[in-house]
Amino acid sequence: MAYSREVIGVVLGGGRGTNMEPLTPYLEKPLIMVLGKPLIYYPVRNLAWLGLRNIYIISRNPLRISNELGHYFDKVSLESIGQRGDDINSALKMVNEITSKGTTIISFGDVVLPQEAYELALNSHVNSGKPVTVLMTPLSDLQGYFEVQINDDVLINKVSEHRAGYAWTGVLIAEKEFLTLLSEFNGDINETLKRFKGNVNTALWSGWFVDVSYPWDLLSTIRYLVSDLRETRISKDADVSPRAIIEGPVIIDEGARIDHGAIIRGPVYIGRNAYIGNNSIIRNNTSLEGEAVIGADAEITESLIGYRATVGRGSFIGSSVIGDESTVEPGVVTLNVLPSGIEVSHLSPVIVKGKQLAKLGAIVGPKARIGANTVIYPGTIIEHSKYIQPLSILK
Amino acid sequence: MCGIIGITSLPNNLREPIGKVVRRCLERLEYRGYDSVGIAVIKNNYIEVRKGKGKISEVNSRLNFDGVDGTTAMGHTRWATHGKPSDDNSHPHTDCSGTVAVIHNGIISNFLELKEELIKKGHVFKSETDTEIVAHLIEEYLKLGYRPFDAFKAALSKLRGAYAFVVAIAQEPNRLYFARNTSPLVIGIGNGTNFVASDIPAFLEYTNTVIVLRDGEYGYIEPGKVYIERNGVPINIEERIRLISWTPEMASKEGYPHFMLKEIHEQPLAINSTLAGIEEGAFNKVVNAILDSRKILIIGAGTSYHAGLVGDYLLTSMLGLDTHTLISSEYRKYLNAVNDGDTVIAISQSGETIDTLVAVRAFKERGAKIIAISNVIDSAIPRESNYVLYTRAGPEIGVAATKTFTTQLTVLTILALKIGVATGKLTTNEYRSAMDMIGKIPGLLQNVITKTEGKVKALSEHMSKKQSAYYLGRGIGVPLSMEGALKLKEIAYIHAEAYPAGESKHGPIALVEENYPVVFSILDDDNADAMLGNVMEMKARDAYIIGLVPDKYVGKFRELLNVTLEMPSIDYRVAPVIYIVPMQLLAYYTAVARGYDPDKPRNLAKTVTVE
Repeated sequence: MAYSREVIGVVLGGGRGTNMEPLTPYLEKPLIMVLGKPLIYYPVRNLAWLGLRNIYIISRNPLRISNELGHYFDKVSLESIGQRGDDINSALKMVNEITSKGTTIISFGDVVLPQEAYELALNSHVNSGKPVTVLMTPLSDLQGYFEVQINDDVLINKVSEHRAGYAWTGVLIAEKEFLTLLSEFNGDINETLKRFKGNVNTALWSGWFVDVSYPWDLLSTIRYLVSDLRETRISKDADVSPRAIIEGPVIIDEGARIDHGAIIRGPVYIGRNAYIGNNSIIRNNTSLEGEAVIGADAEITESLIGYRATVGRGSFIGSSVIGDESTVEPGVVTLNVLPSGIEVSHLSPVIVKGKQLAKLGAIVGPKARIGANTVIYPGTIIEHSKYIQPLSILK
Repeated sequence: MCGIIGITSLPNNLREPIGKVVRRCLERLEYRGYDSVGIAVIKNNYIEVRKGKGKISEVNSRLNFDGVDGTTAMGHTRWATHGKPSDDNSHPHTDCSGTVAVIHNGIISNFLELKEELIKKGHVFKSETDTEIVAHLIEEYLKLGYRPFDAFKAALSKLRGAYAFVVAIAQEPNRLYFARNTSPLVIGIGNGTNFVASDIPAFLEYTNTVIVLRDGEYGYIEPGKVYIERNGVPINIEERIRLISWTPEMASKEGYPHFMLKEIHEQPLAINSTLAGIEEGAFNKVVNAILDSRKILIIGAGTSYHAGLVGDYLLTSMLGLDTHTLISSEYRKYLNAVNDGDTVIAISQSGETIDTLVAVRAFKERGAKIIAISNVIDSAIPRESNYVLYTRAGPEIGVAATKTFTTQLTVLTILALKIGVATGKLTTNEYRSAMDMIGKIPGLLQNVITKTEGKVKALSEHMSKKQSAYYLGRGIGVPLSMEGALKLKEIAYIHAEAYPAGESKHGPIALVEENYPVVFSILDDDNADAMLGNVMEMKARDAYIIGLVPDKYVGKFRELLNVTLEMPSIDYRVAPVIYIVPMQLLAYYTAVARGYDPDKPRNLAKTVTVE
């Protein structure tokens, strides 16, 4: 190709995902399923919705990613490429080799944003006529985020200081000249931005944004993604008892079965072939992935129940992540209000006696098994494949 | 800010007269300015110009843009900066011979000296604008024997400032020249028709193939050709071409999702230009008029009324003047109380607010002198007033007033200080230090935005689930709270009320229960201790307390507050300009969190706005 008039998308999906380890012994972070689709689907979807026809994904497991994503996008040429090196810089360095002369949208595979954010960034970039655009969003606590400094120069720093400011949303739009220099500086974004002093455009996103770096960020991801649901969609292949109650926006995928007396109170996602037993209640902001099984009389709220996971009868699961193929035996209770003094900024808060407290239940790794009638205190992490004796109390 | 469009086309390539195409493109640019409009079409050896004051639809029905045909044309929709909106000051501007036409967006900073030079050389100017000099400058170089492109380049090299131009020269009937420096300009490449415009949506109906110009680039378009260079070096066009496959409706918002957020962020800039645009002469006349008057009435509606109350507080408490502030539509109450020798300050962003205009006429008839404070040059209220002070905030598209409020406060505060020093209520030193503080406002405001925006966004998630809120303050904090409450009401649709904090225990507190949101504006003034008592009252009822607190009192208040928004400790007289900003952001983010469009609140419209 001599030149490309097109805008090209590159999704970086090769992070180590160290903070996600309890959930990722068998699969990488970009492939964790949320609302029936792997995480990395969401940035790719946003790029495709902009009308981009060439999207590249740089990751550690290119084959698996292209298998997982291939069938979702028929109008897009998706190319999955293996990442050389370990860090974000080596991935950024690779972007230059992939792209031709057009504009490139670089997007982090683990950041979930609504489509409007991408539109805003691209519009702002094209309108500014500058060689690079950084999309940022205001946050009350920058711990763990890439901070955007915009005093004299635009810089992107990873900071751990607690303070309000602007975080980089992981979306950057660049012209070729920026990418060439980025590659010369070994993917060091700050060095490159410094060279473009005064010539960096910033766009400010005011809506929601989730940077999935800890397991509980998946819960905010669900909360935001289902907040976009406006109507109920029930697959015609789903088997919903006429005596089940379905309230609010709910998606029920094909093959799912909702038994008599179950209550689904949206917004909720119920994946393919999932089963919900008699008289159980599935409350708001919950995502049941494919083939998950919820026993009779169980209650689930604000949680992610992984692929093929089982929640036994009479259990209560709140603000928790239950990993793929793990088993929660009957009568297990998660407590989900964190004691005061624990940082709340990334977690959904509740007010208890006028105090703002964070809500977080349990994080259960894949293939774990939790014995019957166990009580799990807030914020407990259970490693993958672990067996917990019945009647345990986990603090 | 203005909108510009240029079109060159092969003969019969467009399905309708070129004038109609230009008019349609201009309608999409109307958000950039709407006080006057004009088009120019190259004819045989001359350029036909039709232009006039008014909105596009009005001027079109008067001058029939739609009927003008040709192959090369340009159009302009204006927001007045130099020279009031009038037929003469409308763009395009032409040279003496009528063979060079110019449209322009931005400001030429050295136009006065250039104008003098050109007048000495015998050029006759028809308008008060900075733009017209460009036409004469090019004419001058053409007379010296330059070829048109060289004349254009030579003229460019003389200009300083922020600008985007399109120039037509009659001897080259198929070509339009353009240049960009700071102000936006994009090129649209069509099949036999090329465009140059202030933004992409202007011509998107005709082509989605674009080149976005960068600062310092200039060149020309012809029906089948685009040429761009920078410092004499041609640019590779191919590399710069982009296909637009999405809808760039937000292009005009410069990187913000809504006009309201853009305008909140623009406030440091807007205040800077208000300060830069202060005409000492106009202020002195107003000060003298107020000194000569017995009684001062301030009138306004909505946000302007709140700005008036802040001005009222300063004039009454600091200077002891007999001041009354009223909502414009309630003017009849004071009709018998106003006589010769009284002064009315009429505040209106648009200068067209009908309630205020009616009140102005009624008071004028009673013999009062009228002082207008407005953002729109030569609008109705300024025209009918004896004196005018302009806030130079630029066009405000968001229906909720933000930058116009803070610039109104800036003007009113300066006015109060000037009256203070003229009456001897303020010493020269006090005056100077307060004026120095005003000069620092843009910087402080920027800091406050950066420090509070993240916190406010997090807070808005909580606020968005509430049905009701109180805004409390004392002293100058009362009108400030009223404005904060109005913002939440009008765009987030949450019932909000403002009270003097001392009044809350005489009734309103009955509504307060666990988690009821209360926003306190605590200033660095004599009321801080009393406010502490009010905060404790609310704390005792388990309210959800949000406090805007000067940094020196943060230690005292933090324990009592659920959310502390730290403000700089500055003179309470200039503080409202800064304090309102987190409240604007709170209303904005709460509206976004509730899924509403803050730019288009239901049931509301600006007095003058684009449709």
